Amino acid sequence: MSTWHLPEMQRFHLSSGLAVWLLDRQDLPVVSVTLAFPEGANEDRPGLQGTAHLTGITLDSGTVTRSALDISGAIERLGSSLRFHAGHDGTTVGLTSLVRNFQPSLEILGDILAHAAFPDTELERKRTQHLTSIAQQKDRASTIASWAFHRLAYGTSHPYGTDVGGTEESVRRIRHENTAGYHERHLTPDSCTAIVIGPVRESECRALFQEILAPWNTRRQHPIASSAPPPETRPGLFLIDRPGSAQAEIRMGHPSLRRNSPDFFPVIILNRVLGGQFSSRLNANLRERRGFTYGAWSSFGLGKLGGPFLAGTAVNTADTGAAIGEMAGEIDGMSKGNMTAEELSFATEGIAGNFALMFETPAQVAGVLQNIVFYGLGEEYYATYLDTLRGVTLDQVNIAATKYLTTEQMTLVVVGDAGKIAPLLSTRGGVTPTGLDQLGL
Amino acid sequence: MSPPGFTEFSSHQLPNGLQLLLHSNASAPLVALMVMYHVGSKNERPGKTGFAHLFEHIMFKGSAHVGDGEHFRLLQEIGAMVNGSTTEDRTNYYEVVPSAHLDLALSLEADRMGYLLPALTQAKLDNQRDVVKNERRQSYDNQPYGRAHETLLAALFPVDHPYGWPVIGSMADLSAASLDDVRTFFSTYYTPANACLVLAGDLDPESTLSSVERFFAPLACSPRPPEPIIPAATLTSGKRWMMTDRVAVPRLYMAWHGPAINTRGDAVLDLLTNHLSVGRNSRLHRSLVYRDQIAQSVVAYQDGMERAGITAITATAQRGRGLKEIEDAILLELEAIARDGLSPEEFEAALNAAEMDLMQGRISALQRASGLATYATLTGDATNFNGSLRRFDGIGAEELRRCTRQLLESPRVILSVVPLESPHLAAEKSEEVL
Repeated sequence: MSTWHLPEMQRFHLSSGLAVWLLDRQDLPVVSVTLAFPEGANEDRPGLQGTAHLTGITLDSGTVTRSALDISGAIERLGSSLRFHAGHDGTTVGLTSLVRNFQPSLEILGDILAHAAFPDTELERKRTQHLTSIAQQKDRASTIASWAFHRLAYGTSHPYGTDVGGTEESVRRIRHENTAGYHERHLTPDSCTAIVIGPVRESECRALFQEILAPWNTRRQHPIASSAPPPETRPGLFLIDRPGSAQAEIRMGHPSLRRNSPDFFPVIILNRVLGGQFSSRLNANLRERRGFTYGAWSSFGLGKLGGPFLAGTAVNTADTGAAIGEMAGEIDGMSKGNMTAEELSFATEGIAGNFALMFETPAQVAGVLQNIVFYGLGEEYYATYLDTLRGVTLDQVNIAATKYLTTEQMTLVVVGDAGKIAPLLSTRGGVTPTGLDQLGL
Repeated sequence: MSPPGFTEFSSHQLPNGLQLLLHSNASAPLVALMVMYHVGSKNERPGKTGFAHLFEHIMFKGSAHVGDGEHFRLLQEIGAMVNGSTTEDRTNYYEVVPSAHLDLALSLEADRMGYLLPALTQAKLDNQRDVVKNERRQSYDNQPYGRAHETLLAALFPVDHPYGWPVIGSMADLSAASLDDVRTFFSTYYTPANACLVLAGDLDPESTLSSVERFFAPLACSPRPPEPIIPAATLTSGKRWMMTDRVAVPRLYMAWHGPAINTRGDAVLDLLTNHLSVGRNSRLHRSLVYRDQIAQSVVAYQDGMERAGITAITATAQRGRGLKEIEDAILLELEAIARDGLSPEEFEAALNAAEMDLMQGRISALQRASGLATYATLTGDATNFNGSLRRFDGIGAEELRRCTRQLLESPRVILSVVPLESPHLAAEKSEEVL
């Protein structure tokens, strides 16, 4: 059996500034291209949240020479697919195709990148669909809880206070020049890294990309996210009424550290112990010991601007009060630095073992490597990942826990049948009723 | 050289009846292990629905030589991916582990296959019953359109038909499940002869075979359980049902009885449903979503199960639109296909999309393990997994046209799910249920 090592990639630049990372995998029947851009919804102008997302979903809706139906017709006939995803911190544009159809598929992608036209009729179509999509997302209690938490923990001015898709109000304000402008400023080759995985030789890849993507030659402009305001956090217990709900959705947490913090490794270890895996303290307690829920978890959002520490679960309504008490208790215990050496070794080895499983499929490989692009981690980042991880000490983790976890200033959101839930929360002090409308969402 | 997507494997059977499939592929330093038991919700009976899935949960609570919580703890310590799932036809358990740790996964699977009952307690059953009830609340009852699928099943199948209830089961039946039920179920269905073990990935077939024998050969042999009796199910006449839900926009479900897995009809309908709804230029998307903007989204699918199938079109309305015009628009497009067929370009697109689906379903070791186990369990022959690479051979555009005509002429279920405050947006002449 082979010993594990990072997949070896070929790296080169095109004259446009586009970086290409190629993983030649002759065993795969398809080629997958992921274009990773280090900017996303953090760049949306205040009041125009949703611009990055709307730009992305409209990107393949027409170029100077092709209509929306021309593009999809050609892509579909090849059996290929295009995908787009905007996050707050970065954006990806993807293409997957059968090997034999790679070149004609790349030609269409190249036309879109260089000549996307954002025709008004297509923009209106996408706007209508996206507005309905926002309304549909509010059908879910889990989405309501998540959106409300982020708005309360970050406020209206901070990028993380609004979902990447924006609000109905902000999406209505976005004009043609905003999407075209976003494309022009942020989806540029000199900011982009193309992660190519499949049975493609380097010489072939270089020639195809150089020729086909030549017309895509815009220049990156200075991002604004570095000047984002600090979060305006509202701590407290907030209750959103959703009459007749079958469960209560619970979220609690607070803004926390950035992805490029030196404390990244201690923090992912402590999170794995607290709520980052099935055997975590939160899940073992709320699910396996008490049967309150199908699952309880915690996460650190990290990100460029310091995403939240967030713990969540969905519980049987009658157990809401007890579940909140147990979750807060687990967070509190961890924040006092009570992790053991056994837990440290269990979590560290688990993350390390899992790391080696993360490089099997193209989607996984691209999913890991794009972090280098989004967060400027450096091309060799993953080569030293395991050593750095294994070097973390128990003291470092417990110090990080006291530094990055607190139950004092938490924002706590509960979404469910308020008539039944409110009496269960009476021992927890002031409960503020709220709703997405009141929060401007 | 093997065609793209081909999965080489060897097939073995232990004396106790356990079927073993080995697929060696060292492209990543990991092994996917899957145990698939030939039991699912269609083996349940009315009053005991949801039991196969509840049982799956109990399998993670420890066995004679594995303490409660140890299964996950041991596997998560080595970074493994761990899970299980239950469908109408089968229950599977899987681990993706770094290659060096294959024996750990094998020992855990063997222990719970052979020695679950000594570790069974009422407290474990009660705990997982609560967990599963919360799974039902979270994944179905508290989700938009979350009860539509079970309503569709109730409309398509007669009461008491083995495919007529949802895998998750009813709350009342979950409450009624007893320790005796768990014991009987285990003894009946969790036998080596009723299981298929697949190992796929970075492994040496010879030494792996001896590891498997070491862990699994000692397990007692017992007879295969009886096959469930599945009455033929047809709709003698159409049904038009409607229900309200906490949703922003209405959704229409149009459903038929479809062919089972591994049949020509299943392949034909895969192509047809691709043509109907995959991509902006697909028939239904182009007319309902793109051109007329009456629908927010449309999805057509064919779900071929072991001994039944469901073919369905679901369309979610655009805001302010009702399901009558959606139903009319779908029927208009189906009529056009039944009359004029597909253009060569449209047929080529459907074939290419279907080929891409085949390839994308075989990228990871876990996907290949799952494909081999599924075909072995549901069709009785794992080679059908590779055979499915050629499932579209010999199908032409004319067959898709005839298939569409047949859909139009067959009785179907129309289910409208409409917002609480807008029952008038349902399709015409719908009877309210629930």
